[in-house]
Amino acid sequence: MELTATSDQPVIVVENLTKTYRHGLLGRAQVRALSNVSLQVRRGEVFALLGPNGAGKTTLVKILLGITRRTSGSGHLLGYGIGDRRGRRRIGYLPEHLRLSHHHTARSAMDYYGRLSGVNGPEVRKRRDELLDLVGLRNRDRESVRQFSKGMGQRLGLAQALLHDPEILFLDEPTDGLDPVGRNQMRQIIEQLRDEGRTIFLNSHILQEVQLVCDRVAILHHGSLRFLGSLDDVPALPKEDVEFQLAGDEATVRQVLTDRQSYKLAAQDRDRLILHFAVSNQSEIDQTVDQLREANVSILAIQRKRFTLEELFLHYVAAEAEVL
Amino acid sequence: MRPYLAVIVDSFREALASRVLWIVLALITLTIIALAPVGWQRTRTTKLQMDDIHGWPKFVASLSQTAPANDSTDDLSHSSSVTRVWQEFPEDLRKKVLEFDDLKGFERLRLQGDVIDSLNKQIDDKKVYVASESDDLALDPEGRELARRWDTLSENESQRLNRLALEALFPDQIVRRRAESINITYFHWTAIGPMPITNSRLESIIQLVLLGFMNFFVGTIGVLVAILITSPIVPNMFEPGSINLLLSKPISRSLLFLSKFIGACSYVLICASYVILGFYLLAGLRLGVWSHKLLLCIPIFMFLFAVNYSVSALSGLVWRNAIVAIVITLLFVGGCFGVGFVREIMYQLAIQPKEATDVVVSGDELGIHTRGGQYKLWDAENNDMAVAFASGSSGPLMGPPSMRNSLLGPVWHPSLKVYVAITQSWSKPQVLVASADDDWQRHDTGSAPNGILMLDHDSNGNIIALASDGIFQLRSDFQPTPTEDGPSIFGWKLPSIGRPEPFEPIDGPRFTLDSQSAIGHCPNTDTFVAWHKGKVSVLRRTAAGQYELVVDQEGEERESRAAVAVGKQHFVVATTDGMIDVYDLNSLASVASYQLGEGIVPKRAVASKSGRWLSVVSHNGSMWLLDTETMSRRDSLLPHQGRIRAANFVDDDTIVLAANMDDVISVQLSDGKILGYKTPVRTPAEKIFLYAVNPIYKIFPKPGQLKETAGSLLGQDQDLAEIQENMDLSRVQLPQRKWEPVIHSAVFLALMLIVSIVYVARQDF
Repeated sequence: MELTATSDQPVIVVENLTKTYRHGLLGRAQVRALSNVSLQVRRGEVFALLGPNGAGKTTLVKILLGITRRTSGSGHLLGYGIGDRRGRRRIGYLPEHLRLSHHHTARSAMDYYGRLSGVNGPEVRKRRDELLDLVGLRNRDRESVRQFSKGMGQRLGLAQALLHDPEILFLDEPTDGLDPVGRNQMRQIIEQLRDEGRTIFLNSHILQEVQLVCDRVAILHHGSLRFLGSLDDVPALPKEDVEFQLAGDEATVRQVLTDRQSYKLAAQDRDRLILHFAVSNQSEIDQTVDQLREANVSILAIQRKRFTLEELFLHYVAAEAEVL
Repeated sequence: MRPYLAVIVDSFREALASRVLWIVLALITLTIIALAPVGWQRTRTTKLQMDDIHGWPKFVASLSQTAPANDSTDDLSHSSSVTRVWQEFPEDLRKKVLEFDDLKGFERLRLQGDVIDSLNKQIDDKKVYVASESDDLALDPEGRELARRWDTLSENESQRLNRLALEALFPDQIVRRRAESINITYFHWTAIGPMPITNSRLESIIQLVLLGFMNFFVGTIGVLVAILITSPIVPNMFEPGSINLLLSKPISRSLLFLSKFIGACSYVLICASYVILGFYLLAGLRLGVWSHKLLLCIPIFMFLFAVNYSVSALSGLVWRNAIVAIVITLLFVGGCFGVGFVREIMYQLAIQPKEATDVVVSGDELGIHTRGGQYKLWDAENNDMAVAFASGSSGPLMGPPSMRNSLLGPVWHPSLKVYVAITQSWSKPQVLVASADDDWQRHDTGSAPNGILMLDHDSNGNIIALASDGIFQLRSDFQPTPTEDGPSIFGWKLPSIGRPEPFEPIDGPRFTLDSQSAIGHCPNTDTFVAWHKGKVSVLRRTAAGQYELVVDQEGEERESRAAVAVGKQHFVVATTDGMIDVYDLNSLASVASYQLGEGIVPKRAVASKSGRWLSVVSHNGSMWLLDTETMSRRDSLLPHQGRIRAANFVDDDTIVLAANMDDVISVQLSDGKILGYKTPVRTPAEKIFLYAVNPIYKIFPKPGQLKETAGSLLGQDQDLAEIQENMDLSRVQLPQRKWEPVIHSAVFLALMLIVSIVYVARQDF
């Protein structure tokens, strides 16, 4: 199958998806896992769904794959309704906490899951070695998975997800529980797959790796979507931190800014000062520029600072945690 | 289907990964290897066994009666060969033999063993035949042939000749066994034997042993081990990290579950096949018994496993825990056994003794015979059946039917106003009388002739009894006074001196009927018809009041038993091979023939008094009814088909049926209209059985009984064999329908799988 580069064509569409779990006697107790979630994932992009544990990320993926039923809302996967077997035929999935039966070896697991994905025997055998090579398990393919480390298990899980050459890859916490080496290996594989042009839907709460490989992110918290956009779309901080690089002596600058409280000197060298201003709007910046210029302080550079992904995540997640 | 095949194969692989399985397979292999040297060989029957001598006291007496007065001197001049045999005994043994009567228990057994050993020694030493050479022994042809070649006999042949000589010397005490015996060997050692049995008998014994072995090791131990091994398959599959991946694949959830289920079953199929094929080959190659039916055990035991595993799989699905699945499955197995056990005990104690076996209509009185050997009359006042007669066996019907007491009659004695009956038991049959006026006190009035086959009235209203070698009539001066009034010593009754027996023979030409004959009687024409294995005998009363055998016709020999009823022009013979034949009474020509259906065994045949109607009630509760005027079947008129236990005609318009347990229903023959329905009062135990225990039992699966299905498949002839051994077909207790457990279990299995599939399909994972 020829994979196309990123396009605007959505391959995953979710509209107002809601899921309420019922439990207890006669299902009277209810837990809302997803609440009116809407998003789209375009072909060829690496999309990350972020959120703390219990945010509803896995539930969303399981609904998309037809493992769990939605309470309301709608969605499409490769043009087919949610859970449609034709859609599932074209996706690969690495579940969270993957458990492979201990009677398998890497080879037999590939055979088994390959056949379940509808791949015939010769095709499985052809692709099996290639993929085990990709995930670095080629030379341990006859060992029982009982002897595999968690990282090896995850890599084998990824290999089985790729066996039928899927258009979309769902990876649910692929690096969860892995050591730094294992994470690095997994990240490299994901990057390689991204470079091949596959659409990847990544569930994770490990932000650094997301930042490294993702095109767009969505932040889910308590079942609601809090942010959706590309890493370039990350908004400015609400109380903006503006960095001024000035040429002048410190005393002059301090005199000019006597009536300003919200700044701090970040660095100083022979003829250059770096000051950080906390501003809430553009007029405050303009006013500061005017004051400095009136006192003949040269402004070498002005730089607005934006959220990092982690700050953004914490902004949405921690803010609510404080409220709670 | 490829993905589902992969799931089946994976389940199989998962089970193969179990260490328990390999241990079990290793044990099976070791067992088969250990049994491989078992074989058998044919040998001449030479040595005496303990059970070859019948009537030890008599045998010892005949041995020692020829002992010389002075036993200490070996008087070899005594001419009797028995004495010579006696003289060969060691002296101390002879002394002990003379004290045989005083010995008890173990001492006596030890002496018997010593006597056998001594006789066998004589057989080995050629001494018996030599000792009896001078006598004119009644040797059989085999013995005569061996004796002719006396000088050239091999050791084994001379042992055989000695054995034959012993058999000829003590013809009444030493059993003549087959010339050839069979030894069961292990390597070259004789493990069991010699057994003087035929090959076919050996074959059936081996089949029986194999079946018992299979039932225990495969049907019980094997299935339990299989449940232990396979119970984690479903819970493991439904662990979150596993099921999410499986359900993301483009496959159906229901078929995924079914594939796992089939995978576990096919694994058991292979294991069961390994064991059963192993024993099949072992029996075939080593013992020459190719019991092909044994292979039928494979699907049956797999089905038995599937039924139990359906419970394990559903439990594993709901609780996702192998231990819980195992515990629930074991509870299920125990529950099935418990329900079956309680039902059987209650049935034996509370229900079976009350089940009707015959209906008697006499004037205004309505009575039924019960399986418990009682005769009950309808008590309109209490709306219940009241016991009028009991055979003496009032307890539950445990044990084979042939061992239970039965009752012939009772028949009404109009002038004495008492009922007369004959109890048949192991002891001498007795004539009993009882009447309502005497509160149905049963009085023993004397002995009845042996071998009575039927008790009835003749056309004059006299009570007559047909025995296998004559016809008896109740004396005209019969007094229904009990013999209890006669003399007795310490409670033992003495024969009443001068008191005549109640029945006297009717003089006439001698005849002999087989004691296993089925008898039909038409009181209007004083005609008896006896049928035995295809032979028909007709007895008619002559003008002189004697009965003579007017027909004694050998027909085509049939290995079946029958029920016979006689009408005016016709008689009907319903045989256990499922055929009903209607014959013309005069010409014995077959008028019509009907097929009851495979496995349907007739119970009783009854004709209406006028002879117009002929009927046959079968053990499956169906009734065949023929109107001889039009020669048309009218079964469809009758209500409660399938639940009819007995029937009798009031007249040409009305029939009385006993249905269900002991409900009595009067039915108009012209249109099948129910004229009356009498249900006796039910005791609390009966109510519990009828409305709680039995319905639960009916809907409960019966996996345990599948083993009995396997048994009946291996020994199909057993049903018939039991019928053959019992005289009265109405008292035969047929084994349970062999496919019933299969049907019940299949319904249960389907139900469990449907529930499981619906659960899987609707559940969020």
